[in-house]
Amino acid sequence: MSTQAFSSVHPNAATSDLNITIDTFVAKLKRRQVQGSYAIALETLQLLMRFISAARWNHVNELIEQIRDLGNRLEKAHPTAFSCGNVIRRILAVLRDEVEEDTMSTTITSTSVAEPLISSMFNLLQKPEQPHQKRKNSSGSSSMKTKTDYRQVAIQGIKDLIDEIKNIDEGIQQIAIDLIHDHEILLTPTPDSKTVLKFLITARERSNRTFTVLVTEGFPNNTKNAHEFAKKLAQHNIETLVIPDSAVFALMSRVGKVIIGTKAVFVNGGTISSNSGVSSVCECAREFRTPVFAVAGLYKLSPLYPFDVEKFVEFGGSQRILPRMDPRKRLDAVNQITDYVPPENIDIYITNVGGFNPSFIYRIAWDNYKQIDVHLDKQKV
Amino acid sequence: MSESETKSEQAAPPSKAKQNVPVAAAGSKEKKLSNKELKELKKQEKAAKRAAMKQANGMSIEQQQQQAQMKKEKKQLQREQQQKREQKQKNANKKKQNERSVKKSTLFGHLETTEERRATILALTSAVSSPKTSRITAAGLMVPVVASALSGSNVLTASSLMSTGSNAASIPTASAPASATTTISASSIALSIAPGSTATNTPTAIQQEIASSNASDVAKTLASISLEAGEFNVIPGISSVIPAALEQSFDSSNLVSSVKELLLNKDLIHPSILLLTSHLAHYKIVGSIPRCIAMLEVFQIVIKDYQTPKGTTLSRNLTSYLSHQIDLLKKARPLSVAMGNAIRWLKQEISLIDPSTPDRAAKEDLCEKIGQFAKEKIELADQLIIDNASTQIENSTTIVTYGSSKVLTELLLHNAIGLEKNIKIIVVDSRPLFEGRKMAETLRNAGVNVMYALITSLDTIFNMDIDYVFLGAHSILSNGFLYSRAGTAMLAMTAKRRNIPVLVCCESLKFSQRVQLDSVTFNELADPNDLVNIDYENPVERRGNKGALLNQFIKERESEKKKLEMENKPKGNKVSGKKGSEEENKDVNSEEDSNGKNILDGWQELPSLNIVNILYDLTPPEYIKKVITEFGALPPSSVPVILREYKGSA
Repeated sequence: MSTQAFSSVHPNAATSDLNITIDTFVAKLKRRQVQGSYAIALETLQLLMRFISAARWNHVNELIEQIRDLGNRLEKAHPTAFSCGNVIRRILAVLRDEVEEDTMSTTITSTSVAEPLISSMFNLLQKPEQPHQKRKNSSGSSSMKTKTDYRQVAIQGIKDLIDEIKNIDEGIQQIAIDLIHDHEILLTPTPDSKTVLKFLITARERSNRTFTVLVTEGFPNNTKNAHEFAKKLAQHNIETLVIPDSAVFALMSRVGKVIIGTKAVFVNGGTISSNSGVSSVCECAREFRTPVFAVAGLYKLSPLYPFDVEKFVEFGGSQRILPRMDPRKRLDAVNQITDYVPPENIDIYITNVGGFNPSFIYRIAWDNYKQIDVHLDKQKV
Repeated sequence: MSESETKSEQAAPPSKAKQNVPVAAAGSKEKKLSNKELKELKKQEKAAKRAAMKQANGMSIEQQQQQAQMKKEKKQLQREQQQKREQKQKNANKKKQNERSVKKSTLFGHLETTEERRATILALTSAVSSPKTSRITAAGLMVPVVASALSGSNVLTASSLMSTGSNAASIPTASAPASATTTISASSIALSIAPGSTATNTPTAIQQEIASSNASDVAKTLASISLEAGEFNVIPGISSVIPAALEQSFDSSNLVSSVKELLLNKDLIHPSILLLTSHLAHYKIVGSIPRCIAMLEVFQIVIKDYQTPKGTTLSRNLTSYLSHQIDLLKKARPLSVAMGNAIRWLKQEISLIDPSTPDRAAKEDLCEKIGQFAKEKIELADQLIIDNASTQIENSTTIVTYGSSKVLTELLLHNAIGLEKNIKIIVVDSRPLFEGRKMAETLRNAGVNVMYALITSLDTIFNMDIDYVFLGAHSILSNGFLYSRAGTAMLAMTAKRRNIPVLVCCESLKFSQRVQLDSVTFNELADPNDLVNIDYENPVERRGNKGALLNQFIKERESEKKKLEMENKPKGNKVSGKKGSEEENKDVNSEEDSNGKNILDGWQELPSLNIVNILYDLTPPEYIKKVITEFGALPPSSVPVILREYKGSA
């Protein structure tokens, strides 16, 4: 249905090629063929780059609308691939900032002066749609005058974002390395996180610290990753212990710090991890007063709020839980794939722009997103 | 004055002595010198003779000198080489030691590993399984030990061990009976000590000797023993499998001595005990209570078959006889607390038997008592617990349990089927034992509403509407801690944090005097290889001693094959061309294999990689609302009260 909307927007033959690429990407997302938020973010950005370079518009708001539509499609294809929506919102924010700047320079009204200083919270109370619409009407002619090349702005924004995402580990490592000491015992329940892996390896090799890493298995969905992770660590001469998920409580008293990777970080400071069992581990850590620190690139910050946690947690089939089942006597089996960790069980977030308390995450989120773009599916009036 | 005189007198003798000493020394020096001179003279004479001989043969003095120098240089070179070799060996040994010490997990180095237990059982079963060799084993084991004990030398010479080993190995191939009898006769001294006398009578000196002997030697002798099983010889290459398997795991002197002790007493061990040991070791019988019941049943058989040796009474000898059986049982898995309590009770019962009662009557009495004990302490206790706990369960409650517990299964079945309460049960389970599957299946087959989940989905489960958490126990310690299957503590903690009551059903037989503060200090290590296999089926079911041995065998065969290939390679270019195509085929095969292989398959070779598979953890008493026993429901803090008040009956 949304493809029709697109074809109506772009009737040309040139865009049909693009439509195919979008469709294949949507299909890939639906089939969960793109794994990991890192890969999803990068592929989304590549797609967005092609989309913007092929897009045609009369006014920048049309472009924004088109990007929102695309974002909506992708989010619907895979509602829990948060990084996909996040990067699109980031680009939208870049565009909107540019628009704002333009309106600032042309029409200096009291509202537009206040706009960049006052951030989201006030917007919430202010009913943000109306000033925007006003401005849209007024800026319609003004932006034409200044002739800002929004295509260039958007593409530059995408390129910057790709750069940022690729270099995230560097920034995180520099901060996180100061959080562990020599001969510490670390526990990580998210062995599929590349950030955690790279961080541990560089901590060992560059800073030459010796530490022990306990890796939980994350049975059944993540055991393979866990074993590969453990093997890689051991090959880099890091003392590694693979433990079953059930032994976490038994060993927590010996653990110095718990380090978790994230899939998405919400504005309340809670996080979705790509591995089940993480919330139990963090709860254990809380019970033992063991500090938990989460590593997250900035692109994992999501402007969403987890009012309904169950909407964000994924469940899988039962064949991995109960391989054999009497077909006449079926029973329910729960296979949780992802896990939600509430903010009270996380002590600190390490992002590539610095370390933050979970309660402060919302500020960082609103630095990069616009309130208006939180829900892409809501059609603008 | 007189004092001063005495002083001077006292002072005088030393001076005299001093004077005397140099004289004596001088005398000895003279003697020594004379000796040296004599020697030198002799040497000179000999050298002169040699020179004369060589000159007679037509060699000049210069040539002779050159020869002498050459010899000296050669000797030096040899010495240097020897030193180098020794150093290398030392280094290698050090490395080996390092590797071994590292391979023991950093946190749980103090605990006995499955490998060690398995090796012990393997050694024992291989020795016991062939009756023909059992005697020879005694000979092979005892001869060098006793010989060295008699001769007074503490060090076992490898050659003597090897010779006995080779003797033993040659038996099946050569005319078996004759050579066997010769070896036995040769070791008649050893045998005369070994067979009739039990371990209680063996002199402690010999045991010390055993302890002091080298680990690898023991492994070798054991290997030569196990080879006697005859049919193994049909397969080429297996000869090295068992010794290697044993040698790998025998690295602590403690273990070696315990194995030897077991081997000394192996004739005493009842076959039913061996069977039970293997069942326990392969996790065919799991759970504290089933294990205890199985053990009591086997003890009944053992006691029935028991014959009191001459010169002792049943009440004195049976206890030591049973403790030999228990020593073996311990090697399958550490005894559960319930088993320990039952054994303690049984030993007390035996000691209470009047020595004047005839053996048959005493044995019958004991068997009856064991049956009664099992009924009273387990069956009736369970009944009481179920009655008590049933009052907790109302209609339409949701209950979470963990793993599999005999009492809990009965309790839930009784409530859902017997009392027709509409209850929903969520069974939480964990890798690698997957005990909960059994419980979920039993309940489901009976028609109970069951949900099954793994411990990683705790968050989802506790977001549902849960009324109670019911837990089974392995043991409850004197300080109120619950010692149960690993993962229980996490479940209890999650429930506690959500204000859901946690109830523990536990027979008082499982109460322990022990206190413990955390799960690391005392625990049971299961086989880490169970975790290597990423299979959704139970990996433990298919593993055992045979699997480990088979793997070892396959490894050795492969290395042998490689060696053969390496030897064949330089023979010709044509062959190598064919080999190349074969290798390509192999690569394809290996790629196919990699799908079936596990990522961590070679984890033992990575020095910094470890896998920890602990079986139990400790749940703090704060998480437990109440403990339901046959004496009623009580808080976990009352465990020591029960232990003290009901000690007579428990």
